[in-house]
Amino acid sequence: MKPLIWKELQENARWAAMIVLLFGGYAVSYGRFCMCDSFFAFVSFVGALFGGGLGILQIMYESRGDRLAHLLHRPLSRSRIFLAKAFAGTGLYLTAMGIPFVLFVIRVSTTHLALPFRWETLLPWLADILTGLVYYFAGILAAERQGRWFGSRGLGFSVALLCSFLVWNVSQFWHAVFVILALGGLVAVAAWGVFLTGGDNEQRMPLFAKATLAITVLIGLMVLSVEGKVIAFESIVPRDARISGKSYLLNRAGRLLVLDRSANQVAKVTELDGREIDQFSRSNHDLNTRLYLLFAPAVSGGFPKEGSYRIFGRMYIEYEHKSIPRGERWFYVAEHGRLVGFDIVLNRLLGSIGPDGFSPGEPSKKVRFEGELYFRTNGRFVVPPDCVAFTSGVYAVDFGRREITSLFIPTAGETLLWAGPLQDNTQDSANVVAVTNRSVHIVSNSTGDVIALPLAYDRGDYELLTVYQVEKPQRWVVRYEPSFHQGLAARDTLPQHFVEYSATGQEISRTTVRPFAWHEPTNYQPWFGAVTAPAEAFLLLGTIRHEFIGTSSPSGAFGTNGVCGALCSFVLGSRMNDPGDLSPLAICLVDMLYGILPHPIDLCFGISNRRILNYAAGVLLNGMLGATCCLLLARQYAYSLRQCLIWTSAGFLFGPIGVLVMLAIQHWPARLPCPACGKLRQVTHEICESCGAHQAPPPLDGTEVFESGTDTVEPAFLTKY
Amino acid sequence: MISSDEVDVASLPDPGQSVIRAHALTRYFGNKCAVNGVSFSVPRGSVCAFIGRNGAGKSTTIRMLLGLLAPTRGRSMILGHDSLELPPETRARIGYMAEGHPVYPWMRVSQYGTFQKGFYRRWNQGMFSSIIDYFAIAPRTKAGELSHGQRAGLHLAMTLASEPELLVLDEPDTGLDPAARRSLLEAMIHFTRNRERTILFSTHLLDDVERMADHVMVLDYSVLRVACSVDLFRDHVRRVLAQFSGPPPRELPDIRGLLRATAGENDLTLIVANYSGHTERLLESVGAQTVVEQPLSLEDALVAYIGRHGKKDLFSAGRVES
Amino acid sequence: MSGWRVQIATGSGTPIYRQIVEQVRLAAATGALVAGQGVPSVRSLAEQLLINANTVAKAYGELVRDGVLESRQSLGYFVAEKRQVFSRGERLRRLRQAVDDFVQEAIFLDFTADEIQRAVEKSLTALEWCEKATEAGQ
Repeated sequence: MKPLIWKELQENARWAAMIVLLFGGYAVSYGRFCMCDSFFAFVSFVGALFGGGLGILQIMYESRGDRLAHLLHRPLSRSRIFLAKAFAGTGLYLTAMGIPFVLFVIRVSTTHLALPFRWETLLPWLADILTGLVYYFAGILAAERQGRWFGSRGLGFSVALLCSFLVWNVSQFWHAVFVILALGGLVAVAAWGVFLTGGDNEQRMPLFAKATLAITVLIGLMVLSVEGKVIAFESIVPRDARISGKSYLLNRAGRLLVLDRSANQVAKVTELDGREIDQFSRSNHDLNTRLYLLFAPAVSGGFPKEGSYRIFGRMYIEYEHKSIPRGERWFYVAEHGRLVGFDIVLNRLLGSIGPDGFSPGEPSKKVRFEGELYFRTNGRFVVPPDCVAFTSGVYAVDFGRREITSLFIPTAGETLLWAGPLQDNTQDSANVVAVTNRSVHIVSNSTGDVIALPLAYDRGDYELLTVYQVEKPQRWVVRYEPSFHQGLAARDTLPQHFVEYSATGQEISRTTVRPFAWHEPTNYQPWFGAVTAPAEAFLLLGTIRHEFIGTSSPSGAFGTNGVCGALCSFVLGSRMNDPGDLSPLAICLVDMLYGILPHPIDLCFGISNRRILNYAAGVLLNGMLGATCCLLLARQYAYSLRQCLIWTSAGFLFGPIGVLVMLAIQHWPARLPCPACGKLRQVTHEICESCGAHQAPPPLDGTEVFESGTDTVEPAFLTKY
Repeated sequence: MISSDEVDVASLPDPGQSVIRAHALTRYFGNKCAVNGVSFSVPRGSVCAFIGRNGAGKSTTIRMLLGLLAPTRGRSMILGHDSLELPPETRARIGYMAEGHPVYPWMRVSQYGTFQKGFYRRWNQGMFSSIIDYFAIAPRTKAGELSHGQRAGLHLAMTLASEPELLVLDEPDTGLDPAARRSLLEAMIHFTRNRERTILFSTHLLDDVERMADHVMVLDYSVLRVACSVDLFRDHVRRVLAQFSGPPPRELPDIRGLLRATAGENDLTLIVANYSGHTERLLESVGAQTVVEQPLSLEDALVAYIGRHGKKDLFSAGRVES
Repeated sequence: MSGWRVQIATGSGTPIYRQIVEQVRLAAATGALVAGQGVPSVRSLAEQLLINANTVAKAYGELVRDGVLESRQSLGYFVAEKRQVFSRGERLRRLRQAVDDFVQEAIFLDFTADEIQRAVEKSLTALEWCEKATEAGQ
């Protein structure tokens, strides 16, 4: 086996060298400035391309005819030959992608970085490198399989894409590793199985490998099917029609109005009952100026953060503040609990700011800010915070003068939840709003006075708050919206509350309004049932049911699903660092899938809803179609009863995808007319399925000369089937 | 459906005498039958030539024998093992030269030696070097720079240096210059010094068949027509000249075993397999005055087999289609 | 001895082994090979002619059977003494058979008895001439 590994390494080393030179250079020089999504995207892209390309190149050259014969006719079992190739390829890949990584680590640990650095920030890089291995095996699978129909070779890549998607969206690093091992192992075993039988020899594939190949093809097709449906939905239903155009609007005088952007060209402002007050065109410039004049200034908070190993907010957060001088960058570093500043030009540490003020030098062992920093996320991006707010208090920091003043400290027993500036652009300064678990505090910028507005609704139900500053006379309005954890359906159906307070903090009035559904159910949605197989529907719904209808609603039409639900919640990361954090995977999936699945609101109403019934009927039809096709095929090729049952069930569970899997995995020998009974019979069988006649011997014409004894039928030799 | 009977193929009659046995070996590519019910056995110690037109199915058959391709139906045995379950140790005893002599273009010839050596327990480095030398190949040359004949030489060196028991050569002499061809034949003869060694080779050069083969197999478009010793073959295939008083008849009676018939002015030359008195009588019944046997070279006999379904010859006068 | 080599031609109607047999026979008869002279071993002749050793072995086997060559253990093959393997009666029978075949063929070709006799004399003279040439060459 060793000479084969050596040969594989020699043959492919040049590709590895190319990657090290091209990618390594970039990574080491820019990586330290750019440990962000775009860098990791580039790493993923290079890893996928290199991994897939290497897999294809290693196999393609020797995949056919004489070259394959030259490779395989060696005193090595095929498994060992495959192992040698895989070993060499994996080694080359990891070396090529790993050298830049190692060089970067060395550079980071030896040179002084003008940035905070934590080892955990390398984890996404590592995960992306490892994902490339799935592409590698997908490349092997694609190159070696003499695909009998388009696309069956490429489905390994579909699985690899799924792996990339999951690795980018799961919340923990070890979740990502689990996904890579599971999917990578799947594709690798499938590739091994196909290599074992040479690609057009499925009848002799070990059952385990055959099953793995079936699952690979299945997952690949399902990924394509889901993506196809999503694209179809987005093309059929334009963006404008999907999102409800209506939203509530509080104007500067404190009147509750409705902003209607449903129409294409114009945006309308109406009363609550729909009477139109104003209208203007929807061009960006016009709209923004109008809204700016129209809207009361506000600040919102209470959104849950997305937590993932790719979001570095828990380790350090960069501040963007107008007081930060050029050439300086300031970060909150969780390890030290202080705001740490760096001079980029001179490439050195400036010092740190804590509750006790600025002190130069190393930030360790100095006074920490108590509690956790509040920050928001937008997908995987950490939004630079506007305030310096901790669970223990809100501070105003002047980074230029390196001064810190505390604006608001909650009383004992109170925890700060979030804080933000309430900026009125007509004035220079802003008030600061700090929301604790008991009340809303508004800190006046000019006087420093604090007004406390006790929370009017239970935090468990209404977590999203918006604080408005209205004038004539000056008042405050607090808006309560249902929390994220209630699920999409709840957010579209539970009422919202507006509570008005006087300038001194006395409650004036309350208004309750029905929400406008953020996403309207469309009539297209039930039709997607017809292109969704039962298993697919079950899986997808089970995955995001929690996000759709939350924990408090009664179980929907599809009931609880034990294993599926458990697996999905594992992957979706319900066990996270911060229990309050959201899983990015959940959000991503909800965003993608809500259009092609029954609408969250429909799900709430359960089976009595007509749209749900239509959807379910479509799904069943899909399953029946698949089952019928599989059954017909199985009967035509004279499958045993057990095989018929297996494939028909697969056909029902996976619909037309199941049929495609059957076509891809099973052996379909040619069928020619039987000389005895005239019906079509398979060429692989010695005995005709219909009449039991033997295969005709080759046509003899009297010119045959055989050594005596070899032309007689030897009964001891029997064929395979 | 009959369940597969895992018969020990070694328990068949005279197992020690055959290194290769095939029974009803069939291979379909889609609807097209490439190899149809081929059965034969190659005795130990023989040099067996495998002949057929391009595309007749020789390479396919060879690949099935070596377990590199699975048959659609039928089974084959090689060195006492089922072809599809050939253990690696047995594969080491078979030397195979694939058609076209594929090489890794970047590997140097000397590296090839070390590369191949790593796979085999028995390796005769001296033989490898001497065959390389024989074909005038410099060891530092990259395999991609070798000529066709030299590539064949390299393959031969790799194959023979592992000292196999059975040599399977798929068109080894195609495209070789005369010197290289001669070297190949010399190597084959040298190989057969050990009487326990067997060669199976497919070729288009019938000259080589006459020189080297003591067994012959002819594949006529997926059907095996001949599988026997050369002596038996020569014995059974005859050329006869039938003289007629006038022009020979246009329509011939159904002569069993007729391979080729060429008409002259007053005579008919026939090449017939399994010639018997019956044929003579048939000819006389259509007016032949005399039927005399003529000498027949091995080459002509073999060409008669494989040239049957082509177009009319350009140069023969009035060839009669049977 | 030095001048004598076996030459074979592929593609002729005569099998190779038969060509070898005839050539050795002719050489022994004309004196190109003298009694007691060694002939190349099976293997070396095969390698020299680039043919299968079995063919050579078959040819030598027939020559030994006909008494043209004799095999000496581990020493090889040698030209046998010109002795008659067959009894006089058998030799006469064989001669008669050969003559009958020959005459039949000649009559069939429509030659007169005179013409046939002249042809026979020509052939015998040519053979004598051959013998003399080889003797002179030695």
